[in-house]
Amino acid sequence: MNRTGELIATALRDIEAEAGPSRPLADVAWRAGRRRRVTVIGSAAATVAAAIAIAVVVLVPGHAAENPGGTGTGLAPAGGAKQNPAVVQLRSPLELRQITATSNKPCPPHSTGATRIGMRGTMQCFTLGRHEMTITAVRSASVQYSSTDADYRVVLTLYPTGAARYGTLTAYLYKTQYKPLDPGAALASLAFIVNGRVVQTVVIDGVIKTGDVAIPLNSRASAETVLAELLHH
Amino acid sequence: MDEHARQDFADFAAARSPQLLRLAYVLTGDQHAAEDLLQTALTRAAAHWGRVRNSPEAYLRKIMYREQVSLWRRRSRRPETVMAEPPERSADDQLAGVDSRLALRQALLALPPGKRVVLVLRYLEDLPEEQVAATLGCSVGTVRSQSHKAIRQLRSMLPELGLTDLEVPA
Repeated sequence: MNRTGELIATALRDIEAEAGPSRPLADVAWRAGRRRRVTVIGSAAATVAAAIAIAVVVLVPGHAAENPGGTGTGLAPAGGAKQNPAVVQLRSPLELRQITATSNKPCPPHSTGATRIGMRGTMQCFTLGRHEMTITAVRSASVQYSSTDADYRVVLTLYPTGAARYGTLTAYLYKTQYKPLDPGAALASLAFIVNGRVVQTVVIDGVIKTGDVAIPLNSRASAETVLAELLHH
Repeated sequence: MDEHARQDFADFAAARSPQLLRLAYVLTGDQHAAEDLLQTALTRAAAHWGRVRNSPEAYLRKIMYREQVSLWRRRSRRPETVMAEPPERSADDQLAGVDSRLALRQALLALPPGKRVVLVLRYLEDLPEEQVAATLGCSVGTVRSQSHKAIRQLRSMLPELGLTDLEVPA
């Protein structure tokens, strides 16, 4: 190792030495891991720890009474209780489309791309790939808060067929397109589109087999607006 | 998974958590974020314990490196504070070495996590570029370019240290 390497290694060791004492983490990790093995858990942007920390903020009317334990937390009901078989129809289908390119300009007229309007009025145009799926009905839909990621998110729990398709889609994006450091990871991104408008984009950095589709948003108001748009328009 | 596996996992976590937490701290620069990162890695390891129990530490480290890069990419904001200027340093020759180390420490913590992860693997873990690439799931070229950019950024923050980005092959 040259002098630069030695200097950096020394500084990194200095940082390493500053770490505080570790707290016992094994038991809670085991419990979380067990839940993960035996049931549905996880989302596009949440770790298991995040899922545990999620608090249900809004439930679709009718589901709260049927599932007082909180449908959509990502955690299975205790004792293996069966899920509510009710169907939540989305009045506005949710489209999930692979992103192949992004530009910081609005899409030109007659373009097949999708436009996203940012909070400050900035516009982006996403060129969309052929890998996609459309969701028209779900088991449950809710707005949830993740204290770990400090964001609100719309969480849709899919039926088995939809969950399988979402698993296939995310597996393709993650296994063939996702690269932790390469800028080309944009190809591993999905656009969530409602009524032709891109409401959010996410990088798929894992295979999601749980059947939960999570759309992270900046605020509770934004998440509730998107949920309302899905359910009532 | 049976009680024996659970105990096995608990023993491993108890034995290796302090060391792994130090690594997480180097990656995140924050005690709470380090605990979160380690917790995430342990949770995933627990979920796949039957498969990884023969070499859990390598699995955990890989998760931590990748998770740290992923977290950074997912978030629109960067938790790091980029320094406009390097910290002030004493003119005292006897303290110059210590000050340089402190300044370099601050500069390393100001790097984006993706670049810092590469430096940690290269210089703290002392892994060859090929192994770094395999750990992160990217190309050797990406590792080289990230390493080059990281050192260039450090050099711009701390020109007096005379950092060079060309390494002499072992």
